[in-house]
Amino acid sequence: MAKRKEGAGREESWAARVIGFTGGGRWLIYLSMALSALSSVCSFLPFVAVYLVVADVIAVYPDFSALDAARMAGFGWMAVAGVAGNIGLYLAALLCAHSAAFDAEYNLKLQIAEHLARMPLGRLEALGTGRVGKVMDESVGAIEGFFAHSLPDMAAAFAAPVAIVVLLFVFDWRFGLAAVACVVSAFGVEAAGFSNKAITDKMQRHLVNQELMTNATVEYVRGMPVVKAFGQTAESFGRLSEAVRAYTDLALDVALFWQSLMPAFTAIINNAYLFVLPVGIALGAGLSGADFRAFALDFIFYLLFVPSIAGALNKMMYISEDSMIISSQLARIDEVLGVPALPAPAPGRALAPERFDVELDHVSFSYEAGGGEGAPLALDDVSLAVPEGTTCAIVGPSGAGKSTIASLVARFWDVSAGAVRIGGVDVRDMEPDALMGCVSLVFQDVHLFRTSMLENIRMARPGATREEVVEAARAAQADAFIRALPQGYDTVYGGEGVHLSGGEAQRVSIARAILADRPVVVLDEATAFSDPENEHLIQKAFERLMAGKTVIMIAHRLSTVVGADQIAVVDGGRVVERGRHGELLAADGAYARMWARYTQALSWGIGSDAPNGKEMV
Amino acid sequence: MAFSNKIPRLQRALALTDRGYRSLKGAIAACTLTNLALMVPFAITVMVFGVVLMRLTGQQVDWQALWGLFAAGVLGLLAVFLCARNDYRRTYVTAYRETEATRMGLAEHLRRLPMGFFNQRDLSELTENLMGDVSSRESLMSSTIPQLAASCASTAVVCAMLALFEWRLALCVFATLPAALLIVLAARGHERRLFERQTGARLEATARLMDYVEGIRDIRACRQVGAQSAPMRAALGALRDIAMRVELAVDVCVSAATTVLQAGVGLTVFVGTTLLTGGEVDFVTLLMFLLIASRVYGPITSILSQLPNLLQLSGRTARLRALADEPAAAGTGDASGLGAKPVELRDVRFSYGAGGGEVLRGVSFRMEPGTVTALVGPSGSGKSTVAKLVARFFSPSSGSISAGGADLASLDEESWLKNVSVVFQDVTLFDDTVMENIRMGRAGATDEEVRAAARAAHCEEFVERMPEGWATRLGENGARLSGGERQRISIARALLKNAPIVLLDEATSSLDPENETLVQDAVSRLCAGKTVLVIAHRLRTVSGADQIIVLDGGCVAERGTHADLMEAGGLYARLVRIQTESLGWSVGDAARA
Repeated sequence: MAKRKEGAGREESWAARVIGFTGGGRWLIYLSMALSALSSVCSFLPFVAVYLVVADVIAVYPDFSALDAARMAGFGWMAVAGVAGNIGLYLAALLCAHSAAFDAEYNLKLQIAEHLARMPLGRLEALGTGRVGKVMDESVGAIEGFFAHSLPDMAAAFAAPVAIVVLLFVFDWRFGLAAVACVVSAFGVEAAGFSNKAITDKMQRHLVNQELMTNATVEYVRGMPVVKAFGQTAESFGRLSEAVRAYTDLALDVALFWQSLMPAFTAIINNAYLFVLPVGIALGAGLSGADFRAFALDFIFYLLFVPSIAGALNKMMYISEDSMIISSQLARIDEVLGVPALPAPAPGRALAPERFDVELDHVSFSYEAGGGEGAPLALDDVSLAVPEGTTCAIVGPSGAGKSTIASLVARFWDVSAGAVRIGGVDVRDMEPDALMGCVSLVFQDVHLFRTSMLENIRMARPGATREEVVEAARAAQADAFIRALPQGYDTVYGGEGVHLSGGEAQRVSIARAILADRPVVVLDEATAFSDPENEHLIQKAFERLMAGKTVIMIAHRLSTVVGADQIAVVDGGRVVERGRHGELLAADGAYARMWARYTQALSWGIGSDAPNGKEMV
Repeated sequence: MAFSNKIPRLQRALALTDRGYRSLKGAIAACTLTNLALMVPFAITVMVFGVVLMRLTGQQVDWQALWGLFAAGVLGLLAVFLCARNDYRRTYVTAYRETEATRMGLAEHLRRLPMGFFNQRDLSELTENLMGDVSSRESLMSSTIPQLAASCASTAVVCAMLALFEWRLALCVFATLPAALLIVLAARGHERRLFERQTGARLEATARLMDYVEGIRDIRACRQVGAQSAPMRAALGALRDIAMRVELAVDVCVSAATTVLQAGVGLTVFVGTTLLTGGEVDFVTLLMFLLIASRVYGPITSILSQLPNLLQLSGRTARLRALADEPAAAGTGDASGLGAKPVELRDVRFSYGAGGGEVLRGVSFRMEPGTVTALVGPSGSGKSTVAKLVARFFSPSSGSISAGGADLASLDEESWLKNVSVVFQDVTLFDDTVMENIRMGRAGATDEEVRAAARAAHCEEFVERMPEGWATRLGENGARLSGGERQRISIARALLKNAPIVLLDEATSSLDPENETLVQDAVSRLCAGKTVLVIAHRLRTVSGADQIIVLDGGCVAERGTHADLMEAGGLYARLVRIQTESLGWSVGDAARA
């Protein structure tokens, strides 16, 4: 598991970090917040209009025929203008915010995708595809939602109380004070909730629980075929239902914690007039004549106005919750972005090899991150020199470190000690793309992309013409089966019933490598046997790929390596023997023993008389 | 979980259980009650206006009455609190309980679906059904639907009451509502099309991202990192563009509707002052309407702005319903003991899905108890499909597979699978300990039995090298294990299960020279005395089989023992010849070529 917050040295507030994701779109966010705040201020214009109406009416009360109809119409327009301003500005704010938010989402996803390809391969495997998918989908989505909705609403929510306070104090500070008392007590109730440590802990746990439940579901669904095969659906269902119940319990716990505070908040903000009423009674009792008229105007205005506090404050309710969610999502993004990338050479210091021999110079390597003293070594002081244009086969038992050697040449990891050099240049001193420009890789588990077969091969050299792709496919013995697909080279892999066998997929991968035509080839022979015909064709494809190249081949079948220029026998992370087939047989060491076992395995068979069968356990 | 057509529309639209639907109705009633309680402050405010304005007509202000109204107001506050508390509890409890019930119901339903369903469906989509779709319904149920329904109900009540009071002003307040609704409805078709495109773009972008992550080594090797990966960049760009268009369409529509709606405040001021001037309404009435007009639009606006979300929900609940309506596995017959009987395929035909061509075109053969049958043939000849059909992962399109005379299709799936051990190339592992991963083979096996099976499958060597031995967790889909180690776990499971029929992909036994003999030994133990169907790649392996079935293009091309087939000189003999050449191949040939 990746350590949390690894590499996140600077302590920035989450808000600043989130804003950082917008890049050039930052000004759009600020503009959107300003527009939103302005919109919120406009929303009070109708109340001012109503105040002016009430003022005029009270001035002539009860002789309404004295009212100036034109002035009244003016106030009506004012109310409409307020409404239009409120909504129009908010619309503009939303559009600015979304434009920036969608850009931020796009950039952040590409940034994460790039980072995934720049970190040691095993760190990505430790993160897990599921988790990465969730970060890309949910966490980045939450950031987008935050820009698009939360930030503008936040600006509006802060502008509204300011406008209210200004408005209230402009007309009569005593009523203003009463209204502020209402706001303060409403916030007091909310703060009482958020300052409760137990509940904030629970809310965090709730988010964790949600992830646990998702993982349980993924496993339940993915494992269903196996679980059914072993008749264990009940047990598997038990595990999932436990996770689902735990989620419900905690979710209800969190929700019901607020069951008194939320309604109290609602009750207070919707009864703001109860704060104004006693003040009015106290102030109005002794007044008469013009004084009373002035008082009545203020009193009525405040009674009309204070309900709007409810609308303005409701939005604030969600802000603390939003910020809590966003900071936990940020932490999840950090788990990915915080994994240190393989260091790139300083600009201008990058070197490019001029010859293409491959050398491992006293290489040690441990898969454990940090690689402390006690960490088990996957490779222990391995030295190997593969002269340009020759083939070196690497053999040994599984877990011996064969594939690790291949991964280090491709710099999927960095060595813990020693160096891997191509043409005398340390792979760490090469630009990642320059390194990949001189190495072709063919793995045993091939990944084909959900795109046409043509593009699947062409990705090795984006500028290649269709003819060149077909030529490479032909050389890799892949042309015939690709042509047999429903749309030939334009068939999209993974579409309706388009699937390839392992051997066919490997030939596509070889076609890629042939098209790329790099001087160094690292290839991992498949462990599993393909069908006889596939096998034969793959071997022919290998021949084309390897001609004239510096080849490092991870071999699983010893017959394959008989003719190699050099065979390195790896065991327990060390090179225990090295030489040509004949020399190694003559030496009668580890290789000779492997060869004997291999020839014995070849004669094994399955039959009902079970020639090799022993007693059942 | 199947929904019949007699179910109320709302229940069906939201894919609710009966209990969930009843609680939802309760929650809506509770919310309506809260909304009505929220009218109390308005009523009292209007009465206060009445008392205060008396003074302007020369009467005395009754301050006692104001204190009385204040006391009533405090009681009203209490009522709001109690009602709100009640609806809060009801909505959340309803939403979470319903979520739980739906997840459990769907999970339970998934258990009963035939194996073929899982082999043909995108499993990440199923997960999204269980998690994402249910979650978004949950948030709508807890914070949107009851409030919306209640707002509709209480707005109607208010509207009726106001109309009784002064119909002309009531008309001013509510006249804008139909116009606003019209705007929203008019835009609906356009929005729905955009939503569909957005959903498509989102699925595409997610698929591209996953493709990128899963193929990261190839991505690096081909220098297609980050923005250099054209398909991923294009998919993300398309998602961004369509998302912006959706936002534009929705926001413009909602804003226009809201503006029209709230223009009712202005209308009330115009008409109200005119009526007041003409002496047709009194001032308290006008104030009451101004007060109402300033507040009544809030809930309606939220209805309008939530409508697009509700539209989106219908797509999600449709997926939930489709999953719930998926037919469960047929067949109920008890299959115990049938594993020891002969298994016979009669003229079996099969195709994956409607679009694909036939993979098997009339395959017949018989497997006697305790014998080994080998399937050989070029790739794509249908070998794996035959094995999957015997495992009942799928059912034949026509023809039949029977055991001891009983058609597999008539048997209960789990009951049949008790007779079968499956050792295929793709091994599914769980994020659990090694011990539990092997114990999958037989629930209730003791630790000792698990260890014995693991020893026989040669798992012990690598398990004991792991940091926490048998208690080591394997990580997501056993990320910590190599291919060979995974296969040995799969064999250990099968040994533990000890079923009378073994379906085996022989590729499983081809590993590094070091391990190969160990695994071969384990496979031999597994097969001893069983009815074995082996998919063979290395023909030498099966030369001792009791019968060899040579498949080509979905038909049985040849059958017989090794000796028979070599003598016949057909496809089998040709394959044997090619393979002998392959085995002699070595990398040096390339240099010499």
